[in-house]
Amino acid sequence: MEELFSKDFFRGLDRLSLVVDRDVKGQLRGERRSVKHGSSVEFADYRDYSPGDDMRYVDWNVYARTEKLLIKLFREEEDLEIHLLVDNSPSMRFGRPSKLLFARRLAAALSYIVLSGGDRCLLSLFDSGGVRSLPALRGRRAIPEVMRFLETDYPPASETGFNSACAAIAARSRSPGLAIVISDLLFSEDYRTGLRYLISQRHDVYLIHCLAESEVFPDLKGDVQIVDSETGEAKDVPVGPRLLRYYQNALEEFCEEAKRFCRAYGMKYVRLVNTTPFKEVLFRTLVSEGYLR
Amino acid sequence: MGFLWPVYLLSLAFVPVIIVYHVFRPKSTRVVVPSVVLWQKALTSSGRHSAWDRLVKNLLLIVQILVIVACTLAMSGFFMNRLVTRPEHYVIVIDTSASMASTDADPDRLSVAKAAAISYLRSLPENSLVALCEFNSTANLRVDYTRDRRSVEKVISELKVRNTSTDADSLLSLLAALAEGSSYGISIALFTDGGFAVQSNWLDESASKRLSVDVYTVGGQSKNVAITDFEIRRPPHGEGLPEVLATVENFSSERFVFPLNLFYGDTPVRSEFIELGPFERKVISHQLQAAPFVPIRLEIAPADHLALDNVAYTVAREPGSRSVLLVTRDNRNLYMALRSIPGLRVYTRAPGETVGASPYGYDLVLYDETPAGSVPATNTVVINSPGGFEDVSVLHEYEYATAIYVDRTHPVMRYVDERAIVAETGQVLTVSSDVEIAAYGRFGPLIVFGRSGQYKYAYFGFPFTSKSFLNSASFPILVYNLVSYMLESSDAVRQLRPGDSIYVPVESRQGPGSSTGSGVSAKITRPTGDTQEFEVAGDFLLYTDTYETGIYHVTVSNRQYSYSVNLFDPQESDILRRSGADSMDSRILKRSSSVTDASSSVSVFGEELHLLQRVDLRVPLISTALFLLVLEWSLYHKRWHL
Repeated sequence: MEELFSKDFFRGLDRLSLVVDRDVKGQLRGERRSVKHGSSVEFADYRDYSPGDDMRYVDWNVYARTEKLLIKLFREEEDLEIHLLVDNSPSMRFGRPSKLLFARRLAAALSYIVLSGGDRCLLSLFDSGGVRSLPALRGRRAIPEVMRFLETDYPPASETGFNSACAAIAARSRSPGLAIVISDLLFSEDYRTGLRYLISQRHDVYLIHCLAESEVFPDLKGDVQIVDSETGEAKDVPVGPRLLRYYQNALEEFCEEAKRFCRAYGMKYVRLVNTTPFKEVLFRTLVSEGYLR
Repeated sequence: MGFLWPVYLLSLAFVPVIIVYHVFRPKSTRVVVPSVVLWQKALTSSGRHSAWDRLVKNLLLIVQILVIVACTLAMSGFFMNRLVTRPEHYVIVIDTSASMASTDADPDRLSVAKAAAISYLRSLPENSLVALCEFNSTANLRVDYTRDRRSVEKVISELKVRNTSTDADSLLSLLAALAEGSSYGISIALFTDGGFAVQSNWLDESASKRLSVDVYTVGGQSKNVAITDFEIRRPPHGEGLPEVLATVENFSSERFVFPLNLFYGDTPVRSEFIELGPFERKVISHQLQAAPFVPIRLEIAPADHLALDNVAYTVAREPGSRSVLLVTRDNRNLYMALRSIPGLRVYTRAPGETVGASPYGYDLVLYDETPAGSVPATNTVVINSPGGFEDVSVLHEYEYATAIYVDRTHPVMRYVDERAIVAETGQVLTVSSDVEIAAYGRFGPLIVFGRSGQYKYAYFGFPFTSKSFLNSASFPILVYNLVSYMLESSDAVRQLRPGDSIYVPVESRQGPGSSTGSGVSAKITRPTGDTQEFEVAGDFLLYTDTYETGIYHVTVSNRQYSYSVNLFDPQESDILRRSGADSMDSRILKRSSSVTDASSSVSVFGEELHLLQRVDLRVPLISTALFLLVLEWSLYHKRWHL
């Protein structure tokens, strides 16, 4: 297995931050603008003075002009609950580098960015055996723990339980946040059900669709018996140029369908191939797609 | 549709073997993929479960089965019959040999053949090209391809029997020339009464495809008695007046009793009744009471169907005194046989004896088991010489071979019993095509006659040493015939066959070999009494119109020569009806039928304008098998997939 993190893996990641398009409703103070009024320096509104209000927030200038006591309200800044769901199913172990390695690196980078940004990071690996999660982590000090978690190779169960994993994540959520799903979406069940669970909890969902180069351009020829890595289902396939064309059309249609679904539900969708250089993924693709800035 | 060699159909047993192999063969490569979901979609989109895909999945098996089927059909000689339009070129061939004069058909065989040929001609499609050939001892194209039916019909009606034998080779050569020189199909209608012995390679394969022959056998139930030999000769032993020898043969299964009359000139000298059993042969001799200076005629009157061979003629003249040199170690029997021949002066020399051994000055030299030299200086007989002679080469010696086949029609072999000739040891000979072969042994020619310049030579490929041969009655007869043949000169008796040439040397005023300058007058009186006069410009007179049997008198420079012309052909006299198709080449023989009556409406053709042609499918089947093999190879190596 290739090395998960190289020495200069984190170089430049400090300059990136996760893009969240709406005000958050967090639990702790953070750096994201909250829907609540609080004590930040960002002016939000006025309200009439009520007895007991802190006199320091009375806008005296307005009082001088209008002789009305108005209290200045400021925007509260809170942290964001960000769920990172990484597909650990057998189908993710294909490709060179494997899609799983690619997904873990991506998850590591995103976790670094999340923790550095003062948000809460809830990292989970899911397969049919269930969900393996870290507790909610916050702050840079938690980065080594995240890395250890990601470096651990958990043997996958035979099949992906994506929908149940999403349901479990949704149940854990205490407030609406952001869910970043990194998966190849090659499930025997309908992945849209799981995504709907997340959306129902008012999470923003970022879907990162990982594909292996060998899936896009399969190197198969002749009479082949293909076996599903997850279900063990076997099929005799006479592979030729014509069938390869049909396969690539099916793959394209599959990706387009996922993209259409995400767009319909306000999710972000990006398709990545495992052979794309990692820095290009972080600093170009995800930035241009509006995931990072 | 059918098979030439159906036993090869057993090869189809490989088909179940191939099927079993496909059922149990190792399956395809196993590859683990992330998910089969997309592949399933691709297969569904490509119509994977259509009938075509099921076929494609088993295409290799199907192709292999087809290869086996194609190879099996090719090996078993699969053919089909198809109806093709008859060719537009037709050749009518009519046999005019002597046997066609037989009256077993009404009125005779040739008339029936002519009527049938005209019927055939009239039934041919309009605008087709027709040629006419006549064949007897030679084959002649009488009318070249024409659309003028009337001219062909006219020539057919003018055809007459030629008193000649039948030469099938000349006919086959003509047919081969017609087939090989054309690019179109030729349909030949052959009207004949004889069978043919055909060599298998007389016609090449491509030419045989263009040639189809309908044989119409002419003749009914026939019977015939014939004179097959008749001549005058001196008694082999002793002096005296010559005797007449004749052979009479019965060629039918009936017993005949008939009168026989011998005429000396026009005077009857013998008259009697002869009885001949079925297929019996008799030799009749008659001692002449006077020197035979006039033609002698023999007549028989059996109630048979062929009259031509019931009369025979012969003429004899007293041979002059001739000198013969015998070069031998000590062959006393040969010497005594020579001495017994009247009018011969016989000299002997031992091999290597130089004095008097030169052949010059002798009319005939016999070399008995001794080299004969390279240039013949006179008529020469060579017996078992180590080095061969002239056109005869000796390959090697043999031992213990006795079977001998004799040409009984050759003058030297007359009255010789072939069973008496013993050639247990001898020589294996090769000869050129210019020589006559009178006897064959197991290893090839044994007795050969040739001509070298103005001299004749004879070669015997076996020694005259066997006592049973030397003591047999046939030995002095053979020597007599040999000497008579070798010393036969222009003023001696000449026995000719119809169509043989009369050859008379003309003594020019300037000597032999020089140009005569002015011609010499010659007169020929034919058997019918017609007289023809010529001016002979060269060194010899050559007269070829000898198709009438009888006596031909030739007068050149006030010297008279007589020639008797007789059929004397047992094959021609044997007019028992045969099927011409029996030995006809099966590649070209399309149909054989019989024609017996000219008065009835003979419809020998006209039942259809199409004929059934066999289409040999071996080549296309082999081509198909090769193509399928290439396809199978391509499929096997996965060059062809969805």
